[in-house]
Amino acid sequence: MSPSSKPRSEKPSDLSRIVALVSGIVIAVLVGYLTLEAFRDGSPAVIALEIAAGEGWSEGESAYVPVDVRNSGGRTAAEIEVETRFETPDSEPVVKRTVIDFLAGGERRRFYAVGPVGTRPSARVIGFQEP
Amino acid sequence: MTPGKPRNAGGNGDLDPILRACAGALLGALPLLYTMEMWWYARIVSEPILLGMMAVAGGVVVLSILFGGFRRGRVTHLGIDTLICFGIGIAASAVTLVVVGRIHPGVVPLSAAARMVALEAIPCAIGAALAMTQFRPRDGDTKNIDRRIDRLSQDRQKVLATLVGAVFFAFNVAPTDELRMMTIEAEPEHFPLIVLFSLAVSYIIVFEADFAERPKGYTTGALGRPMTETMVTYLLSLGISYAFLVGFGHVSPETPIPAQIAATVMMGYVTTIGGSAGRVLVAG
Repeated sequence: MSPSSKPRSEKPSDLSRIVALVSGIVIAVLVGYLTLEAFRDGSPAVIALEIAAGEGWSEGESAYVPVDVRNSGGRTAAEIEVETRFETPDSEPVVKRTVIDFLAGGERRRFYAVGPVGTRPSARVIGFQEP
Repeated sequence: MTPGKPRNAGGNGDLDPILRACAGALLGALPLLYTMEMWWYARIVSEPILLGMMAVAGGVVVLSILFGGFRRGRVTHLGIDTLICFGIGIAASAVTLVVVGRIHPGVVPLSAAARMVALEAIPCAIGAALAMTQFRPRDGDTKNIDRRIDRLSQDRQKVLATLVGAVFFAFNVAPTDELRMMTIEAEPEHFPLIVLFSLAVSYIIVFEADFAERPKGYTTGALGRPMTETMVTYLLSLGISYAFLVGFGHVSPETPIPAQIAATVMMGYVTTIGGSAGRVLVAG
């Protein structure tokens, strides 16, 4: 915090000018995009489930079935609870619950439901929060 | 270790300070780039709040450069360095999030990715600014550095340094759930102790630890007395803490007043140390 001697004035180098120019463009694009998003009407979160049985596999007596959870709405959903149910002919159905922390509008997350080989799960959304 | 290459100020076209800013962006913000609460918060924060945070961060970057001295001796070039720091902050944030897989095209939508990059760019930009200005080579030519902040009174310098340091440190704690947990689980008698300990640590860092030689006139002005400076800057740090708690959704006007105070005091310990570090850096 001591007084400094008068500094010499220099022109910025070409590199500094170029980096500053590119930075300015990047900042403008990011801020512009966020501003546009702010004026976009955010529709409520809509959670859709898709069972990608063709991409699953089995190991021993367990079947691993991918389940894609997508928020096709605009707003973010939190604590999305999904129930998967494997119906078995001879015993009680195998029911699992999975919680996904956050899904922004348009975001997709995949989890794997594990059940008996030879069965195909059904899936439903139990509920979610709007943070 | 081999001797470093001879430095030629400006001879490499300013590559060194730009690379230093890149390193500072990562060194300063890497913990936050790896913090899941930051990714979650980016998904739920509204755009106006995010843009407001970026604007505040822009101010902090300008202050950091003013404190440390921009490189060219003309205040008009402050804008160039500010743009560079923020641009590097955005680039460091985006590249890291893509490389570590937090931004995955086709899985994470553009809007969420943009908000994550913008939020993480804030600490990156502040880190870049501090690195560009504070961590110069020790044998570098400092005559060409314009510390415009020196023209301000000691009181104003102390206030601004406290704000910069407190904001930088607050960013490292405010997004985390640990803060909420610590506040809830602490016993009531802990909070007066936190206040006393915050004040003591602040005093020790600035006045006893001998980090930097204090310049002439440091003891002038309304904040000239060490105890006054310690108390006033502590209140400032509490103000920054409260703003961050509101900004990151930890407290709202509906939160009971005792809980608001408790969270502010808990976070105030961090921002007080940050503010003290800021004042030590400026004094240096």
